[in-house]
Amino acid sequence: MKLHRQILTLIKKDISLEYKSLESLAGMVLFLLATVYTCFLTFKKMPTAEVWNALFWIIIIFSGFNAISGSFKNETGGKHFYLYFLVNPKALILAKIIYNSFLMLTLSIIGLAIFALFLGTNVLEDINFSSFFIGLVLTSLGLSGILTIISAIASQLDFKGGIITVLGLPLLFPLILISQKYSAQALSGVSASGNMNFLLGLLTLNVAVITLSYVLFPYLWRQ
Amino acid sequence: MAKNWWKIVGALLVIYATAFSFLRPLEPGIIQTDKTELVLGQNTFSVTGYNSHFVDYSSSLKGFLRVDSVRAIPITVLDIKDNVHAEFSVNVPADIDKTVMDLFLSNDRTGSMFLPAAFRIDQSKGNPAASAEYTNVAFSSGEEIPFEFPFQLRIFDTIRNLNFHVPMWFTMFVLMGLSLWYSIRYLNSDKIEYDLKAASSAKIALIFCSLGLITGSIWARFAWGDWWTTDAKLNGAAVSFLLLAAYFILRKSAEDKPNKGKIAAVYNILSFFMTMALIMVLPRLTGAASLHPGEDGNPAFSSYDLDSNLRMVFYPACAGWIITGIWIYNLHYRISNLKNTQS
Repeated sequence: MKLHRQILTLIKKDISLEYKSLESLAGMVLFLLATVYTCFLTFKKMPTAEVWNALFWIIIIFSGFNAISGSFKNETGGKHFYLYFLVNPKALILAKIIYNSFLMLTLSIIGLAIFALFLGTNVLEDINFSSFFIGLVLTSLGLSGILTIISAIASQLDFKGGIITVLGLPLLFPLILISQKYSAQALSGVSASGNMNFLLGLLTLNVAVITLSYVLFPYLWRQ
Repeated sequence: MAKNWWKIVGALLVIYATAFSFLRPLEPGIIQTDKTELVLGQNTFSVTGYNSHFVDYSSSLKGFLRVDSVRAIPITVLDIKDNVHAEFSVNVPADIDKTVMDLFLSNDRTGSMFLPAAFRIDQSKGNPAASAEYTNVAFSSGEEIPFEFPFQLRIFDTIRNLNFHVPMWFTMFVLMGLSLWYSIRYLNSDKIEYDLKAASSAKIALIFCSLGLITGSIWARFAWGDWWTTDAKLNGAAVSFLLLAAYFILRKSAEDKPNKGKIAAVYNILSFFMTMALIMVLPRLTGAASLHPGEDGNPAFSSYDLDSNLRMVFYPACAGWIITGIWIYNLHYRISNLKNTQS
């Protein structure tokens, strides 16, 4: 099979697995709801756009860990060998990254809605939505690029619980710094073309992350 | 002996740099004045100097306030309390057309000492004396004392830390580069020695990273008033520490896996590139003002901050610490290799 056919098939497999067990998706949304509600309880009302922005990204990162950390849990044991003989590892990692970035994008849009519901829309008054959305798409891609390869690393360890945050969080620093600065601009109404510096930074970082995952994953896969 | 010459060179360079850093004095300078605002006419103020030898060379002590590149207002010595404290008086003319002035003092030992923007003139106060007039700006040179550290405001004696703090980071970068190189070699060749080399160099890099953090933190406390600040370079330092530490946690928890070396190598390569993105790319992208020297995103000191005396010891210090770091890494690798072959 060609690489892109393999990728499509693998994405379809992941979607149908997710659809079969909707409780994991519901769990992710519930995690978002619970964390945003905790913020609501402690903050009552958002003081500034800066704090809103910081909280939003922190919550998105941790729901990203929550959503993506288990993305190789179905590829262990016998299924690992089945896939090993069947597909190209490069197709597998690309499929996982694409699937996870859609998952992340969905989660961050739901997160945005929950934020608006509980923490008020007053910080969103002069938001440039298309610019903010481009930021969300690129950050979701970058997040899933880093977290997918980290979860592939962690899936090979016995003790998976805490280690994925220890391994993943420092790697996310550059991505989070750029996207937080980009979205702070977008929140105050700057368009995507007026924010080219950070946009290019996000793009380059995504390209670097996905290239690294693409090159490095086959070494993890070949046991 | 013949193959160990580089270790001797490294040790000698480190000893030279350390001795130099602790033993040589700082250039004379002016730390502060008791008042920052002067009025028209007669004023008195006292000056706190540094290594300024006011008593030792009291007969030649003189000074002026610089108005512009040509004109100056002369000051007279009222009282010399000790080597670093003295009182002066100045007569500010009524037709003064500048509000901010620099203070210059000199004697035969120190040459010209200089405090930028020392005084502001309040032209609405005071009663100007008729006798007040200008002289010319004149610089004088003192005794030539070889190898003094440059005097810089706010940093003062902590400038010696330059020869410890910066070489730690350079050594860390060299060792991280070595670690990356051996990780890539290991992925492509599967030889266990490359895995051991990557782990050893990362471990020594972690030690140098910790030393860089400690020396930097102490320096920041003196120069900026805080143990830690939000700064692009400090973010880079923190992330390199976290990633190196995470690498060892990963190695430890993958210890009994058949492909532990592969896992560690993949993580090491990933973390190296992310550290580089944070240190090299982000400061240039955000353009945030940084307290740390090397404003243009370059993590090292710029040529502006280094004078030739400092270079005489800074470059040997860097070379010496890098060689020492590689030496320690080499020893550590040989020990871990022996342990590995025994078990």
